[in-house]
Amino acid sequence: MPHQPLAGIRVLDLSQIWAGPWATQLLGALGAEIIKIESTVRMDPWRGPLEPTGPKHRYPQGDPGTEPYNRDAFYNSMNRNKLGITLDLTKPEGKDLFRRLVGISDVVFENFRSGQMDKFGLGWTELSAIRPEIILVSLPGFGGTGPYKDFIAWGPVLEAVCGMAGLVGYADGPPILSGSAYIDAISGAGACAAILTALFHRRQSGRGLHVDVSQLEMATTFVAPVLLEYQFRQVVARRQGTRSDVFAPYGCFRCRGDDQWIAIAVESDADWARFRRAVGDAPWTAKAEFQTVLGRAQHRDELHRQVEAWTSGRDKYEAMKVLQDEGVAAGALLNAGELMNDPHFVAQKFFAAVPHAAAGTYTYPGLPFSLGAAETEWRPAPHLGEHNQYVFGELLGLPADAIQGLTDRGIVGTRPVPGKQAY
Amino acid sequence: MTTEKDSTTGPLQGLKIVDASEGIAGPFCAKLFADYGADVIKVEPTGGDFMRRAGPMGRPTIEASGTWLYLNTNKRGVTLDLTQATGRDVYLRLARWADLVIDSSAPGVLASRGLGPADLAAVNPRLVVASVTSFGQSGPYTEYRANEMVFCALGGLFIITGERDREPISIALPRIQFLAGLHAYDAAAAALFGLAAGGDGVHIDVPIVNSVVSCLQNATTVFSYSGYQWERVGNFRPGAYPISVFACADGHVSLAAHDEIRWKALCTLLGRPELHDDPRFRKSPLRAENRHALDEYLVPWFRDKTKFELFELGQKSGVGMGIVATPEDILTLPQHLARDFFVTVDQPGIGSVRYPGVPFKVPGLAGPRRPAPALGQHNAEVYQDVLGYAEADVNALFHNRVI
Repeated sequence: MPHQPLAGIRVLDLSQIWAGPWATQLLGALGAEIIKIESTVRMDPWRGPLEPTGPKHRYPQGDPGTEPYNRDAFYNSMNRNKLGITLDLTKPEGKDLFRRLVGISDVVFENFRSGQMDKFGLGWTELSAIRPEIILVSLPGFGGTGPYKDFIAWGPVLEAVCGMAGLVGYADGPPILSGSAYIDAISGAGACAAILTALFHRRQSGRGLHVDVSQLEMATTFVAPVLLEYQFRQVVARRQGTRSDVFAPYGCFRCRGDDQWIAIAVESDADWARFRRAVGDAPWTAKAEFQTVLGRAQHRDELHRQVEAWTSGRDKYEAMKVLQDEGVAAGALLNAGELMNDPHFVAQKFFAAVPHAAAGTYTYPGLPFSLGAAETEWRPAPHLGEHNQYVFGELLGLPADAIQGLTDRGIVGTRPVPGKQAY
Repeated sequence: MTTEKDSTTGPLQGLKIVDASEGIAGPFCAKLFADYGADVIKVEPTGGDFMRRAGPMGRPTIEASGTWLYLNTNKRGVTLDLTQATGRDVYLRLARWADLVIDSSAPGVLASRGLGPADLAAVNPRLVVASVTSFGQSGPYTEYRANEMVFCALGGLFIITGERDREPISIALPRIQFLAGLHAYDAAAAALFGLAAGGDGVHIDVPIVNSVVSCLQNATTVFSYSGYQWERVGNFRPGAYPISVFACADGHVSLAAHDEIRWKALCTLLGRPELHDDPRFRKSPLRAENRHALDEYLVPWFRDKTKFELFELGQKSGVGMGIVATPEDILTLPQHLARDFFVTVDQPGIGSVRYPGVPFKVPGLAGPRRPAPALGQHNAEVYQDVLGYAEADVNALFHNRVI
């Protein structure tokens, strides 16, 4: 039985796309009941376009099928272990149902543009009047206050403003944006932390609260080392690919094959001794200038040429094993397919197949932690409005004809309404 | 600004944490507990957490590592030698006191000393233990050495960053280790919250490399669905433009105006409505295909303006722009100042230092209560007042290098 410390906690999840849904995926996997709220006129944009025209790699076997919004890889990965309902919050009946859900929930979580909940008439003042113990956690890009609170905060914007983009690039080029939007991963983990901390606050005080989690602040927290370096030495780390000013060999080196690489980090003299043994004490490693930390850094270019001559004749896994067997920090650069089959992730049972009625059975990643020995039980991501009956019928006690009426009036539903979606 | 025995406040007040971890991930997890009000005792080897020697260094001494000082605010600090039987006995007493123990020892090492999760559970059945290690408690890589680069390599993030025809690049910032620490906080805080319902503690396994994959769930899932592999694309994503970085008068700005609404706003901002109707640029995939032609309009427009001018003008016109911020920009950013994001800590021997404050504010926080501890600073206070050793015993421990 997997450890479920949040059993009994109910979260109304209005979040969309990545950062917010990552937070609720973590909470859901820890046992909380996540009720993800979309609407038939405004689905989570990660369900994709109603009529996909561009590349189709987000769909099973590249086929969008007749319900592409229930077959999208991004959505189906990020929204496992959540119940899905639809509710039109722009309509009075929709707001009313939402208020009733607030009355039986612990947390409301949203990552709309700052001020949107107030525009719905469902801001903190209203929610806490319905239920004083309710916890509202907001995850706006720049925060809910301040001169930038209404600014657009997509990944490329936040990467730049938090300081990380300025640190990434080749020595001869501009800052380079990330290959994958890690700001969202950081913000989601941070919002999860905020919800958990708020639960402790409520236990302590008996009252709920509104927590305003700025994605920018969450990311800037991680940049502290650079801010401290600047304060100590008034220098800014310059972009230089993956080289180090003080250590060599350090960086990534070509291996045999097309676009095959290994990362190697040798710092101390002890590390260097291990490296020498790993490469069979090749004569070039005995050069005087390579025997000290400072010498290796000063003669980095020649040292790197020699290291790459060694790595480029070898398969990246083979090179990693040879180096790691001697205790050298080295890692093959894996792509998505390779890492899914990597012995570490296989031994961890990190990836698991989950059947999904509309998409089929595919493999999804696990959590960044495990509690105890039991494996996480994964339930598939919800179809649009899949759990309307359970939430409105069983949790709120609406009779069947009432739910049918709501469907007829477009307040709830299971099919998207064309012409009004995000795309 | 600090008092040695001030009471904790904040939502986690009353939680007792032993931070026996070293490095970044475990200590960052413990820092979050400390900053939100838990009572955190940092337990270091007698030579100190190895992070004390990691830059940026204010001075080359073990009390001046910027990252170490940042990660260990609000903790009391003690030393303890776990290679000695007496030291292991002290550790068990700490485990009896605590609600949560955080460690980062290589898998099996603590167990070989009689201090593994099962041993701690025997003295404290409700104890939560969070082990934060490179590759987790089991598997073929448990003895592998790793650093931030190696995590990003084996976790799939390294290969997709940089330009396709050049070597992949990484970032000189240990952000995956910070992220793993944040994930460890999520798991441990949830586990502690759930303990109120009764029952036993749990052993939490946090392999740092697994946190990398949480940054690219989409890449692995798409591979499973259709076999498609992400590639390195530098600043040019196929199918979506403009998303890129542009040089300006005093640095760079990033631009995200690839969707049709923002694209239209950008054309208006540039004073070139005709670009919006240009058939080469009508949809995002077309703009990506014809990006060099489009850049002939964009590049010169950015070049002569300052980054803050572009940022504020662009954002107020509904276009996603961001300054590529330097540390100076960050420390003086109007948004951070308006929200009181930074805290100033008086660091003994170094002076006034500004750190990021807590990542989100909650009521009841007293602000920074104490700077990171000097090595062994709270040995007497913790071992005598918290664990109940007599003063003479503590001195004997010190004499024998147990502490």
